[in-house]
Amino acid sequence: MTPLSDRVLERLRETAAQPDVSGTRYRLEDLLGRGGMGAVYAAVDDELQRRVALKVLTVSDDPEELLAEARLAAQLEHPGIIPLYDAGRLPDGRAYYTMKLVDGVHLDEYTRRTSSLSDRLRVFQKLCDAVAFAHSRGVVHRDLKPANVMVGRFGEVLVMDWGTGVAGTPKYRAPEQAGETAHPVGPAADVHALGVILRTLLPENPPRPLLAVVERATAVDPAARYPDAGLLNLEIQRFLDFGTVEAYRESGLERAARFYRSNQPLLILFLVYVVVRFALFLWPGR
Amino acid sequence: MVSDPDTAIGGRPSRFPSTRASLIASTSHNDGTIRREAHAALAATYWKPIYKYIRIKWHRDNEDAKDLTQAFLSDLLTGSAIASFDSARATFRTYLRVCVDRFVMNANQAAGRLKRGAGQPALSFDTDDIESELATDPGLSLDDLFHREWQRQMFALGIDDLRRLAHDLGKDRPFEIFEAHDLAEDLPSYAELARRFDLPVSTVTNHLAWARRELRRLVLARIKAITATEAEFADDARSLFGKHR
Repeated sequence: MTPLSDRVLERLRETAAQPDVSGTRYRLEDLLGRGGMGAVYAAVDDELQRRVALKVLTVSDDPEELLAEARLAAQLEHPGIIPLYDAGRLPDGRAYYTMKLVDGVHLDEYTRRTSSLSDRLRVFQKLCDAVAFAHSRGVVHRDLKPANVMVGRFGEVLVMDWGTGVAGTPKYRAPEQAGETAHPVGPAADVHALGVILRTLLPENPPRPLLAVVERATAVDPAARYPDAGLLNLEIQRFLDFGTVEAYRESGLERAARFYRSNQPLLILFLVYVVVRFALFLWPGR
Repeated sequence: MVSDPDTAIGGRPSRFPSTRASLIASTSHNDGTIRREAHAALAATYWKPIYKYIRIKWHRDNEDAKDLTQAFLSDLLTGSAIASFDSARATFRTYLRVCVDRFVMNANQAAGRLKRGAGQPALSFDTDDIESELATDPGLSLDDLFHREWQRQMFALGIDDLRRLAHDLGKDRPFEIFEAHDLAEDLPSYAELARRFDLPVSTVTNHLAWARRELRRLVLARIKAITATEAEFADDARSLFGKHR
């Protein structure tokens, strides 16, 4: 039997995992990412002479499964949903699909690079918008997480991997996905994942209203969450506009502070006006 | 998508022969031949990880570990332990580790009373090459070590299968190229191999693609044979080829 060193073993694992694209229109370039389920490669489509992202499952005992998911994603035409170009089977029998190769970073990397909370929230809103669109077409993602969200160079947000993670990722999945509750898995599971994602976008000491939004989005009971991603988006918009966040019951002081922040220019002008009027009133020569 | 006729060997690519009646179930088959084959296949897959695990976790010397491995496998395959395996509760590999620990603990208690092999045909192990591997193992946890050795063994068996397949198909040259490239400590370039084997570079890469594709198929077929359920098969395959261990 051939003795295998650690180095050779790792090489064998890597090459055996690589999709076999011999005789196809694609040439592999780099491995972009690998998860438990599959891997995404940067590849070149020699026919159309453009770069694409090629996704292939590590094990595809039933290639129809991935192809069905590809068909599902192909139905979703939205600026926030990654467009699919092609799908099929490779010579090694594994199903694959190709999609737009986004020039950008994953959401977690974007968060590391962007300190502005409002910028992060605007990106989150675009994510909600894409998810709300999918829900309106009857499609539930089931595995929303920063690794499945790309933020492009111009701030565009693209959601990937539609319908592939039936079981979800432990950190982001809803209790009903983990089988902890008997509720059926539906759009509320995506709202839960969005809530967890939102928490990752917040600073160490986040504004309380946003924490309340996270809390409501991630409630154990799906009925207690936001009914859909669109309403979650609306709640974020209210926060950005200094409006009343429905999930948060604020104190009188907080309401006053929020009123001040939302009307700051007007209040300052009014204050200046009062001061000037008062000064004129007291002016001795008057 | 262009299909490669080579992949039709042994059935549709990524589909496996219907040996799904699992080796584990076959170890208690009524037919003695099937039972013996299943015993041999399970022993071939697991003896090395078990041997290394006993060497490292239980601090046994070479001869002791060899005897314990042999005794454990004989005991496992002929006793009731394998029949008690419940795939709903743990993977076979995890179950096996628990059984090894229990066996070595019992052997410690009954030191001197251990009847190696218990009348079963002796399993033959060549541990010379493993001893050098033991020294190079990085600081892995015992769990990771067992897993790593399982991965190593699966590929080693797959390579043996590939060698046989290549020979049967008259494809010794593609196997030699694969051996010279993928199994080399220091990776030679395709051009270098093309010169060495007096072939165009494209033929070298085609031969490599064939060998890798077949190796993957053969390793998956081995996993398929030793796992009890589809879910366990998928998990094992992912841990062999995927990111996670």
